[in-house]
Amino acid sequence: MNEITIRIGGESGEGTISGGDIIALGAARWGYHVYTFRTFPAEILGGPCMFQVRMGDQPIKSMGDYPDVLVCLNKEAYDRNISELRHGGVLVYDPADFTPDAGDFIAYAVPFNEIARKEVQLFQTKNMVMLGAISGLFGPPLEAIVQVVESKLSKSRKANPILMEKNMLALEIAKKYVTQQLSKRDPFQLGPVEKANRVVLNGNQALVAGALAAKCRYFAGYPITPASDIMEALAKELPQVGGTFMQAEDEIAALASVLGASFGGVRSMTATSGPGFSLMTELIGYASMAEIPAVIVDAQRAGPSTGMPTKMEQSDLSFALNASHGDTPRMVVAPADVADCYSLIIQAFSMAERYQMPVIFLTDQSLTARVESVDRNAFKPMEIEGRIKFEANGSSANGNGAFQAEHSYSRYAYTASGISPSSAPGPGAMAYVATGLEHDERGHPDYEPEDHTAMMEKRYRKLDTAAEELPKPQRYGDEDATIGIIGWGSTEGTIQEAVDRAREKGYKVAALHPRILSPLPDRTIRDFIRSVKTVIVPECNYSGQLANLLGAKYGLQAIRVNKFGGIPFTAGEILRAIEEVS
Amino acid sequence: MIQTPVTLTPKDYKSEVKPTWCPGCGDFGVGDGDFFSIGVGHLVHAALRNIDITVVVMDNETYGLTKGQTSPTSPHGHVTKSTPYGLLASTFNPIATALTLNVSFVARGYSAKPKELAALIEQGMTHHGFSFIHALSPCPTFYNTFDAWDASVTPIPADHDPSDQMKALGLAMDTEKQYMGIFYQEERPTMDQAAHQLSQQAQEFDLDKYMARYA
Repeated sequence: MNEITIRIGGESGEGTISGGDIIALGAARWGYHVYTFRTFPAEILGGPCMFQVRMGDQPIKSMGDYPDVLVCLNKEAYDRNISELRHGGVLVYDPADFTPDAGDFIAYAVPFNEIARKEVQLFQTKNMVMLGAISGLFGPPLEAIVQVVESKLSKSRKANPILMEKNMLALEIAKKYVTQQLSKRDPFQLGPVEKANRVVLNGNQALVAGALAAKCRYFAGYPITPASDIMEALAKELPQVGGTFMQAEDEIAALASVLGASFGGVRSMTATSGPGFSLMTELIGYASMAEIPAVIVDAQRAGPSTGMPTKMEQSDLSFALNASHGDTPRMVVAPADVADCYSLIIQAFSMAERYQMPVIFLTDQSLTARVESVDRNAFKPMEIEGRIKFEANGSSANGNGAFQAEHSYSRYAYTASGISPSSAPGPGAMAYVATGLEHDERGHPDYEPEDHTAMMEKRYRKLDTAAEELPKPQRYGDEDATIGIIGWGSTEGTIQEAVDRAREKGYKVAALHPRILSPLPDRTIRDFIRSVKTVIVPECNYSGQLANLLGAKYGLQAIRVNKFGGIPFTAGEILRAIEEVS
Repeated sequence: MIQTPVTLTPKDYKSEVKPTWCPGCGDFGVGDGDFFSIGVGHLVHAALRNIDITVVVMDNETYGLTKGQTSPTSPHGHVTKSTPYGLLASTFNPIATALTLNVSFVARGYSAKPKELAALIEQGMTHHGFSFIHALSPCPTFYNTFDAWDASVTPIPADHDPSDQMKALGLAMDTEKQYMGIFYQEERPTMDQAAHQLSQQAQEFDLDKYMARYA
């Protein structure tokens, strides 16, 4: 198999993560499929961090159970990671840092520090020495790495010819060192591969591309890990496409101004993480009540409270489904991979516009930063549903500037679908008050029991309409499976890999992975549950939030598999769960 | 921006819904609690952005809608249902705050002098930029200050120069008299103008071109 998983462990701030990124980018641009995972502390500089990249000539669905190769830049990285190195794997280390214990691995000593200090004469090139060594020992080709380093450095503020030269020197010396001084005794080697039409990007980058393609033209947000890079990218891009960006004073203001822009007819979005999302709950209720479209990205991180800002968790599902007081229809979607961050955010805009309510997009820390190589064709223009506009019989909706008095327009008209034709300010606009108070069809405050009942039913009817209209999830695996797995969010690839491996071992397994979690596709899920003997629900949270929901809605007694340390599942962990229930 | 010439008459604002707010204010969403307490952070940042909007804050120094608790503008020591031993905190100074936020139009009016107040609101709306109008507006139900304010409200000195921010601040800090009129006014570019300026060179989003950076 032409595949290899490399983990780099080091100190945050010394180029561990950026070094890993360079390998991933280089390999992907050379034609390999890549999938990365990183974990690092929240303290900006310092603390242990690790980067894992899995590369191969076949599509890659998960970060890999165990690294084949472990590169340690200090003793702490060795202590933390050596137990996870696969049997017969390779350790690359600097003998000046530590002496490894004997173990079931092949150890290559490479004097990273000495090469950087004495031969390159610039200690900061230590991570380039590491990259040169990795290239020399395992592939990917040094040319691929050189290209990425050149392009990264030339864009850097620190760019200068001497630094460039030193980096190149470090790469070459290290590669020469490992090929001349070490005799390769391991089987891990990336072979040649054909180039392909792919793009290489992380979840948040794909999400931003999707938002722009969906004609999102207003964004307001407040900085928070791991959603800030969405904000920073749109701050740069929006003015270039005629949009507007605002850094708000807090998340309340962020969502409030998004709703203001959306009221004005502009597709609008905000992005935050759990603590900021908590602040938005009041406005979610308002958006639902006043029926204003909005896309709200919640890049989940480990909670509660400040929690672990840089760690992965899928623990905002219950909150996203219920955030707000009162009965508050909203939609919740969760992307499964990088390509999904693009296409599902476009769908989220369609849903918000068509059903006139907030749509919460639940990505998570691991997916925000996960770099994948994706077929370029996964990023294509997609149709977006527009708002149903009010068309008056007379002059109001044809843009001739005539003013229509408020009492002539039923903004919240009762309809069979629950969707009421809307109107945004501008020429030919219909006037109405978008109030958070309960109201009649014309938007006037109304506290009559029968009106609140009818209006509540109208708002919820939109979810029924949506459940009928929206795409249904596809079953993955055996038609005659006895074991079913239902998951959500960024774990899909990992679950599918576990299904593949279980089927190879003779198990009958299938998986279902709904991207739309509100409204749930009831019939599809019921049919799936009925078609198998046992259902496993793996989630990266403590309480089993999807399992609770499936229990409450369908009476499902699922086998719960929960992981909540801040690190995603491996396929091996889910495979073990399949084997245990069989 | 598209400007649609529309002439509205009072009739256009009439609906068949009978207003049931207390005639004292009905200042739900536009009062001293909203702007100086729960929404003070938003007031600050809307002001710093110099967005072209007019903010009229109806200040009755009490929470009327929730039936008579203390407000940020209540006087120190003020006894209410929520401050049975007197207000322990200091009092918020709306005009001084607006001035230190560099608000480009700062004025005060009084609901008992509706003609003057209406004129200030009109000037605020004509002003290009963020205009802040502190409208003293007593609560006849929970904290009737008409008599006290009739005595303390004073026209701003005729020789006051509304371009003099420091002098304006001096007048704002006078807690004996409540000056009425324009404290400060300055025309300067708004954030919405600047934002429109940024997208002058805007082009249609080109997906192929955008994705090329990831190829």
